Amino acid sequence: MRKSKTRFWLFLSPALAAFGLIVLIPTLMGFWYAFTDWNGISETAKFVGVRNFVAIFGDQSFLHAFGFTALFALCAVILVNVVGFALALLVTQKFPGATALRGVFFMPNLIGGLLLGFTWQFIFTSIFTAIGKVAGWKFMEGWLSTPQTGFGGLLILTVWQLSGYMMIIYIAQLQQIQDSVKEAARIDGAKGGSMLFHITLPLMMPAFTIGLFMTISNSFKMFDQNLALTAGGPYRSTEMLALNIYNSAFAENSLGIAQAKAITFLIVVAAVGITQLMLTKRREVEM
Amino acid sequence: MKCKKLLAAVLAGALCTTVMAGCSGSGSSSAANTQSGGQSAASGSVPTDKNISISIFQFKVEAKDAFQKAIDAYQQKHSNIKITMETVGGGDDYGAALKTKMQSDPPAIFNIGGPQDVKDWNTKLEDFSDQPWVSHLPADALADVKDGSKILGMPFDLEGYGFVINKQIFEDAGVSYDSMLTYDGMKKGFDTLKRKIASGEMKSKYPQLEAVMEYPAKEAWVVGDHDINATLAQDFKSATDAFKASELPFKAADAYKKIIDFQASYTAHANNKGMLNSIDYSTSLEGGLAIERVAAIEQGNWIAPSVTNVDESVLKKLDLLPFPVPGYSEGLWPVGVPEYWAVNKDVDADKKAVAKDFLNFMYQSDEGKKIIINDAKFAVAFDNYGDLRPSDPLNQRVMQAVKDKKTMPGWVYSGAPVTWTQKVAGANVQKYLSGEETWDQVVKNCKDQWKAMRAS
Repeated sequence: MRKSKTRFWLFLSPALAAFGLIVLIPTLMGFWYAFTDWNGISETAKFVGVRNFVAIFGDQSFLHAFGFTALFALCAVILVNVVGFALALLVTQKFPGATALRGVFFMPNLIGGLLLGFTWQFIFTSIFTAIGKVAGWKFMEGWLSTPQTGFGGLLILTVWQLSGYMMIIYIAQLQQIQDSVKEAARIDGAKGGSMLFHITLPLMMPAFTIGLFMTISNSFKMFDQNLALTAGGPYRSTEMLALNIYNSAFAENSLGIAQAKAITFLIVVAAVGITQLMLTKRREVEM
Repeated sequence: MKCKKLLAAVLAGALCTTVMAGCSGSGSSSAANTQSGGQSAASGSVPTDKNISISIFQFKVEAKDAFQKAIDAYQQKHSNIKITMETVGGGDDYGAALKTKMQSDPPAIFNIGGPQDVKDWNTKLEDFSDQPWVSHLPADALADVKDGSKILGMPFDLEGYGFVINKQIFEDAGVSYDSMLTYDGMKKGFDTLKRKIASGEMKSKYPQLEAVMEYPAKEAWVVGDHDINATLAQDFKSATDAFKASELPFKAADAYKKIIDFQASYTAHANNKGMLNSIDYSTSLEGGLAIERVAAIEQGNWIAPSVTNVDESVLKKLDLLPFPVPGYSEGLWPVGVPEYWAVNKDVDADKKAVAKDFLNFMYQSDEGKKIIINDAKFAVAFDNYGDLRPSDPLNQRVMQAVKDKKTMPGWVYSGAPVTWTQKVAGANVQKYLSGEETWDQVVKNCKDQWKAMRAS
């Protein structure tokens, strides 16, 4: 036992060292910078106390980005998981081409966020407009030019990209549910709807825990898709938190402010994530 | 117990490594500092007896191949020197990349913009005042990179902008270039073309033509940087002046409104201006002017390569109208130096000598001059380029304006508070176009934010 523990740490140490160097120490250094006026260039940083934290709560663009991101995360989490689960149900049915469809739905995940953003930007601004003109649908024109269509665009992109990944997680869990359980339920008289809600869904809870956690953290932290699709436009209305922080750090040269924002962001995302984990863990059932 | 100790040891080890890395980093840079202090007087000669390699970190994607050609030519002359170049595309992204690059692998040559960059990077900038090319430049080309008697940047090129028009289309509509040199003349000419497009008269010759102008309001640098520059030029003489101002007089704000309304009213979305917020640069250029879907856009000489890529024959039909500031100035082209070369003060003396010599080679040797004009297709401010002239009509117009002294400072906006032009002026104009804000609110926000950003 003793020996295996030593080995455990021995094998863990390379990863731990890398994690410490690349994640832990920079994070701790970041905590320090949050209390300074560093601009990212000069060699000296002056300690300014909690001034940065006071400043960010008076920063309209930050508060707006916070609200926008929260609303976006809420919508994205619901849609991604509903669509992902629906896809999983679909492709676990037996029909020709079901396996091929799994690959097709998963594919968007293999493309980088920046590329996706630019591709969808083209779709929204050029193809949508072209279709709208031909068909005479006014709502198809001018996408991404208003805050509403910008939000819609981001949502469509995210659902399209992440649903396939969630689908894979849900497929794995669906296949874990043993046929004997389903059969027993069927003998007891369960049909379509009640089968789904009383047997399948409760047994899927472990996958939902993971799925929800991943979508929550991903949609809060979203950066490249946001940058490539709208870059925050029009007039900073679709700027999400990560992009807002990036802009503070690199466009406005206020690294101290950006760090203060990042730490606030970290705390909020961690709080939301942990709450969700605790809530869904409680509902998990063992087979 | 033991495992906890091990964990502690690993973490402590990791910490030590970074601390040491941190120390060694700052140690070497301070060593370089003292060295540069002692040898700067003797710099200027390029050593031939040892191998030296320097790196360039630059932002002009369009001129990458031309610069590489200059590097190859230079290396052929100096077999002991190796120059590597890295290119990162324009705007904020280059600024962000440069910051990280400076922390990890400091380049010998890099780019800086206006007065804000000069201030931010001041401790890293080598003085160019003893360089031979300085005497071949007009004083105003260096105004924004001067710090006392020091010259901290070398002009990249000259860029000028205004209203790029397809002269052929206008002439076919019976409007001459010369009649549009003023705001009123432009209005008349644009109205004539607008009427003829509406009546279908232009259809047979230009089947694609759907509007006089395109206005890419999605690009904050168009509605912000460029469109506001002429207005700022009424308040400030140079970027440095703007940089020093704690408040914005904004006395020509009405001209800013006029020029925005003017552009919006000649687009296909004249009745639904909010839609302009979805039009981007390439829709207006590659998908607009270059395919003769529109006959004019507000842009500058830098669009020549993009137009060539789509349709070279269109480039020959283009010309550049001045940028009017209705009620304030007429017939002037905003021209200026958008970006500068800088040499890193903290690299060792040999590298600095090579870096300066290379820049001098690229812009002042006969071989370099040809590359700058023919390959990079730059217009330049230097007075010793002789008969070498850019071949496209836009660059020629810019050079002509410089020669006739019919220019106004084109990069005044780079002296505005960081991000003000795009995130304040540009964003507020987008709100104005979408109907979310009145013009008075735009003006008020612009002034208030300028003051607030200067104060913080």
